[in-house]
Amino acid sequence: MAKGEKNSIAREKRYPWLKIPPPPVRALQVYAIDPSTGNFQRNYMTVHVPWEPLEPGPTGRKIGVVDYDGVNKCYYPPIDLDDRLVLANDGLNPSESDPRFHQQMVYAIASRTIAMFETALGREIHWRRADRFGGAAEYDDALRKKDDIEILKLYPHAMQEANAYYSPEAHGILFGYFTANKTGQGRNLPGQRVFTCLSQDIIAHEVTHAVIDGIRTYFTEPTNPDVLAFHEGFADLAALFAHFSHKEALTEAIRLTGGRLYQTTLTPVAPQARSGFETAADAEIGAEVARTNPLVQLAQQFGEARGAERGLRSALGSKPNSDDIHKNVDEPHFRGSILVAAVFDAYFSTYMRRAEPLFRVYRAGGGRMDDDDVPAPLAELLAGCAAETAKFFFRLCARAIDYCPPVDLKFGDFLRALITVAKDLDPADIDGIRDALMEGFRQRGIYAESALFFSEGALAWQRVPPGILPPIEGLIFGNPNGLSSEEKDKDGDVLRAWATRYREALGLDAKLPVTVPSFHPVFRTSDDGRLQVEMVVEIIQSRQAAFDPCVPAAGGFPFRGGVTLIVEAPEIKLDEKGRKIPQPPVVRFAIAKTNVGHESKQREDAQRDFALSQGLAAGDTTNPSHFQANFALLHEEF
Amino acid sequence: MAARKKAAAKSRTKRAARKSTKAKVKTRAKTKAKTKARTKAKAKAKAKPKPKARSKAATKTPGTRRSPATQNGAATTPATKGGQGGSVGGKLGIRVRMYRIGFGDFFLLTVPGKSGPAHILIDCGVHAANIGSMDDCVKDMASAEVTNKKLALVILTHYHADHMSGFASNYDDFAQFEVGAVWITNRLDPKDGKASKFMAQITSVAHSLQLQLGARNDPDGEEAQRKVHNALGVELGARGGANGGGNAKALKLLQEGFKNKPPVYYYQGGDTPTLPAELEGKITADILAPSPKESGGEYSASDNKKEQYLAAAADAGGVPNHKSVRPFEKTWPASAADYPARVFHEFDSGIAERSRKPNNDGAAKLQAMLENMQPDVLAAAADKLDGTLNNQSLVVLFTCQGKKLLFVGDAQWGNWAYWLYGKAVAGKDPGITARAKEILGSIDFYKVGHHGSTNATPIPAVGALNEHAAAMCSTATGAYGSPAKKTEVPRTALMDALETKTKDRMVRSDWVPAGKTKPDAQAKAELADLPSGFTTPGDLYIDYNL
Repeated sequence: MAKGEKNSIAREKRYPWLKIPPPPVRALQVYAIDPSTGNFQRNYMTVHVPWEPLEPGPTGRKIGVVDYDGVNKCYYPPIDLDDRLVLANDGLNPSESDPRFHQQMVYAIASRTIAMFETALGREIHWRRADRFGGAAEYDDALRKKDDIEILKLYPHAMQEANAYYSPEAHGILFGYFTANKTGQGRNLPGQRVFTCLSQDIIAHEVTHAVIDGIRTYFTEPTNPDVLAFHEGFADLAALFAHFSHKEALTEAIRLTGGRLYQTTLTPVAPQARSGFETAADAEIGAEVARTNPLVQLAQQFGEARGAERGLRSALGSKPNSDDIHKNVDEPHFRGSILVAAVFDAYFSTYMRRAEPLFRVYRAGGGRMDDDDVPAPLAELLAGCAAETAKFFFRLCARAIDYCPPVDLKFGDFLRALITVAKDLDPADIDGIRDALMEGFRQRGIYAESALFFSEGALAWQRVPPGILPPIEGLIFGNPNGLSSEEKDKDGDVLRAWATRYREALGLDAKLPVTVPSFHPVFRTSDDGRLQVEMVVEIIQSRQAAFDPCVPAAGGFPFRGGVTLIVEAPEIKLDEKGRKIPQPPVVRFAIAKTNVGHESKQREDAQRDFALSQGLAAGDTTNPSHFQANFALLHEEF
Repeated sequence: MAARKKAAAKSRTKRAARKSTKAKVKTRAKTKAKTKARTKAKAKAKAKPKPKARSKAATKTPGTRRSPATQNGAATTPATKGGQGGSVGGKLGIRVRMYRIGFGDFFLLTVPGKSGPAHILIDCGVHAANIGSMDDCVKDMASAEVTNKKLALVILTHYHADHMSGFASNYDDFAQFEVGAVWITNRLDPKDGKASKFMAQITSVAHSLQLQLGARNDPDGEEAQRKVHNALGVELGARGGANGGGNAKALKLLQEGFKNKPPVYYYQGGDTPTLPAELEGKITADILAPSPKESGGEYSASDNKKEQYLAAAADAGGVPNHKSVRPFEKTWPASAADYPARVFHEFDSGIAERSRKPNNDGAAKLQAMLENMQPDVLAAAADKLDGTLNNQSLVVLFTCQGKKLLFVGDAQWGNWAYWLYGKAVAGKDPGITARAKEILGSIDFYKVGHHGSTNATPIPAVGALNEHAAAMCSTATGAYGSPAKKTEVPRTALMDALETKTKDRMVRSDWVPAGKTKPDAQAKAELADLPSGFTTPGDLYIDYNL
């Protein structure tokens, strides 16, 4: 430390007002979509991520970039984002040929994705914890484990492969780089290097996997075709909704689609002189080519480099139909895309409904709606509407994770969670969001098995009626900055004891031991601006079920039941004498997958069939990780 | 959507590749047909229309197809009256029936037993290029005319889906069979702790490979994946659907699923096998391989390039080339020391210990881990896995009425080396042992190893092969390897060598149609003109009669 610096620190101690407070955000330059789009659609942008002191890498508190190339077996020099020259320039300028910019972009988008989740969920997230297989027996050893992820590692150039995936084993995300196809390479140079770490979509998608894996313990255990599809679909949702936070791209897309954001192509800048010649082949100059709408496409460069004519996946894949849900049951991306389409159907419907008054005002002023080009001020207003709605929808989706059962998740469960949260977030529902959601899911054949009717009332989870479940005495909610270690230990003990005592009332087995793999205090601002304090708790019971009940020696699979509790923080009440009496926390929702009775039997049979059909009966079935998803497998691309 | 489109594009290119292979084969077949035509013009003219007409009739009325007695006129087959009472095969009553199921082995050997024809089933499985004829084949075998659900002996050579999937997919059919005895390679003996542990490890490795390879989207990766799926018994694409339960289920059938719970024996090379009562005194069997377990990894080599039908020395042999490219033009020098130490801390070997004293090896651990996650490493591992399982193949030499029949499963180099040389061999051929020479020089029938793949049936083995032997190869083109790399299966050079050696007395399973599946392009010329001793009803299987 230089002498002058020491002096200034000493002086700041004496005169604290000299100290400059850390800025709230850090500005960093990134590619808006990926390098292939040039500056055409405002392709450079600056993202603002929450400020944190950074070491070279960048290495922060929750994420660290480690640029080790596993093929060439070398490190690339880490960027120091706290360097003053770098700070003054909002980070390095976008460049494909400087690995340090790659590190910057990976860090920036990962940070933004984490921030999106933390805002939506109302709490800090953490990464995968190792105690998922252990119970009380291993508890004393649970101080720190090899599989615990403290800092999520991002490897921007980990491998030479058209792939990127979240690997719990590597404690992070591996991004690959590859050579574009020699022909049909889209806007890439034939055979040029393509970096998956420079695609916003790919980064956001992978980080979302890591986030969900940290929130939910058994969402990586494929007990039915929907589980992994949900992981994939949700990761795509997060990546797509992030598009709408990029205001310039959004405004331009609105201008070139006439406000109909869901269109797959943008109207060419130069209207083609002869009608009926709209394809690229008929265009005489570049400006006549109708470009694809980047807002509803995922991973454009990646898709084109691999010879597809468009991005890897899109928000609205095919026309709504209820057949797709029965097809390709084994392919999580395909199945996930149905979920994405259902949510985006609802999103675009809501946006169009909200934009309708603006269009009407425009028409009333003499504007013609058959023109694609809308005037800038209108585009501006529409962009605001689209961005606001996207934010709302993402919050809805993220919070719905908390309202899902802890094991054996199905799309129908997610729908029920969505409706419950939507009722919570926006009770009046002027824009018909719940209706749009139900319609979007219904059109794609996604139903909730556990609900009797396809109506709002039946779909929303029912609140636990008073008197069924006793209050959880002694639960500490802490404050928004998190729980201390002692508080965590105490809460764990309280919850385990409570759940063990009332497991039968929760719809669980009266004899099996209970584990509480996770509990998260949540702090949200409600409609009326008051702070809402809740706790989301996972309660799990596991037992071994045999592949063949007659031949137990042939091995088995873990069969789990569980309950997600939403516990409400006590509201202080007045007694008869007007004294304020604190109330014990009560359970608002208990969202269960039961492991007793007929329903459990059906679930077990279905899981057995699914495990056998997936080839899970082979191999070392005594190793718990055998039944966990491997995201390298899932990610046929990313 | 995009993903689907891409898949379509992929299959298009694959088809194109297959077409070119076929075209090559065709020209080869044509020239061969010409030479044959000169000698056997008459016979050909007579025989040619028959199989065609039959296969058509068969697809129309599948019910009648299954009885060979009604189909094979006495004119074409010497004695095909099956059933327990009658006699089968040629003069000696020996018959080898090779079913066509795609890429996989399904052989039924019939010999005169104590009470009429006795049947030995050697493997029953299909994996790649599954043509969906398994049901029909099993039904044919189970029929009263053929085995009447009685098998004297069932042999599983090794743990690969293309040799055992039928036991899983047709579990219920097989469960009705009465079986005299079951022989399995001793690497699958559940009572042998070491062997079971090794198999558990292998399947576990296979499983994790399957997951990691699934992420890839290139031909090399796909082929590696197919190898891994073969080891697990998982179908590519329709996972598990067709096979219904995988290799574990198939093994369960063999071990405890047959109707009468027959004794199960686990053998290795040099063992004296126990024959079921029905066959005692009627035939003898020598177990030539796998190498004894005690030999450790000595015979684990999956190939020996010098002794294979490869032309180019630079051949990749199934392992993709390392196509490393540098991502950046300029040099960007750096080391682990440039990163803060805390980012490596989670990988430090010290933190797993109770003391939690860091060993400062986090960076090294991280590097090793990333290097092991590279795609080429995965493909090589899949290849190794494939070879390891193949080398466990039970190799059986049957002697019946003075005739010798050799079934080698999918034995690869290490397995062969054990009984050809009595020692592990890498590199040049030191000359095979007198015993091996004697065996190969006197056999009358050879089941071509590993579907005609380049890494099975070494050159010295073909060299020593009896000129009067007949050979059968169960295979399908286009499933594995590529002609460009000289790894295509079946390997054209090997097929040619075998045909030359056996004077064209080698037939392939894909020469006959099976239901709706047409014969391979080459078959048109071949099927009409089967070498003496071989017969077929024109559909589903080819018989070799002795």
